[in-house]
Amino acid sequence: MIGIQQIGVYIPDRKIENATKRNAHNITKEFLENKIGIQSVSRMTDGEKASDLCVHAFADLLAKGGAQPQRIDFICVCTQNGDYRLPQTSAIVHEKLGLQYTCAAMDIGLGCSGYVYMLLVARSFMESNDLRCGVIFTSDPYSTIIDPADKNTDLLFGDAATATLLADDAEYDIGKGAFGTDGEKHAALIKRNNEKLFMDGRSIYNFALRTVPHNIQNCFEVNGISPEMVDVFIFHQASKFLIDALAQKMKIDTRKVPFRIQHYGNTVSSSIPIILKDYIGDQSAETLLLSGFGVGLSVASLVLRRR
Amino acid sequence: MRKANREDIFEIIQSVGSISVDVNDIAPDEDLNAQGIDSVDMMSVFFEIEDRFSITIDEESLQNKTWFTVDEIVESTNSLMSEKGVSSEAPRP
Repeated sequence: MIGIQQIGVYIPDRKIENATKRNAHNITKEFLENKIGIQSVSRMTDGEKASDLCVHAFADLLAKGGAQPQRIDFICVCTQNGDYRLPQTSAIVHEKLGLQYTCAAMDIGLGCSGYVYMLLVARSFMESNDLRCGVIFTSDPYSTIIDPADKNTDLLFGDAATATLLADDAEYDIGKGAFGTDGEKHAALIKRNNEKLFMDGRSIYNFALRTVPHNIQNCFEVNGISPEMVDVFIFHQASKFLIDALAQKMKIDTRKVPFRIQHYGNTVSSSIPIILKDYIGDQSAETLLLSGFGVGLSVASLVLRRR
Repeated sequence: MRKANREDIFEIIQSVGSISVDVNDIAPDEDLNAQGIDSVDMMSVFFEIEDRFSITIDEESLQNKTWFTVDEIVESTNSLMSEKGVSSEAPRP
């Protein structure tokens, strides 16, 4: 059975300190620290593209051992800001990593729920086609679509990428998923053609608080577990106040809900695997709940169990 | 038909985890923002009001009504309930 074996991460060293923008955006130090919860946002090097971030994340995966490039038979890139409108960014990653001709390569065009979707799609695709070694990437450099004058997004989003190794010899089994979509709210987080990113924070907050708790309850039910069995809830790292509000709404012990994006920001589909990598090799966590929510508006959750 | 009152709004403000202001120190006729309740806190307050009084506070409602003080929130909430024909016996807890 295909599961998660290892995760490589790339967070650019280049950072923009949000404190330097407080006055321009007319927000207080307390608001920045206690509500947004992000001190700096990461930025890729000028001229880099999504595929370059994937290559960096793959280098970290290689350094951690386990991945053998010549054995990789499937890659997938989750991005909404790929190198080009076409071709798929995974084809460019395929070239840059020098992967074999028979390696399948596809993209998934989802935002904050993308990692959860991609895990489930990848597992099913690999198992149904007898593929044995897959790497799924998240790389969504929002810095390319942010308006620096927009305080709703400028202080939030950071660039990053991850590479997750999927194989039979895995540390975590991937359980069943639960999904939700509110297409009527698609304009709440949108980048229209020839415009910058627009975000209606209140709509997203309402969507998250109204749908995520139900979605997670559905996820418990389809996986046959109860909330008490979950050791760690890894929510999409949107902002501190949203994570805090969700934990409060769901009455979850905040010690089970990590928030660790203070020094790089909301990295969209990368936010969950960046946290998840801390639990690879950590025997203290047996059962994890992953929940991504945002662009779409879309929500997806799944359960991981230590093998 | 049960209308919203000051106590409802104070209770909602108290229930919002991110708000550190003591509700006993909040003046009902003064701007909440000036009393330490920021835009994110207000988002949470509006969310709870929507759930409790079965109304939707959309952008149009935010622009056409005033929501700065507790008293204004009470009045605007009741106005929205009336406009939208909300006829529940009592607000949801």
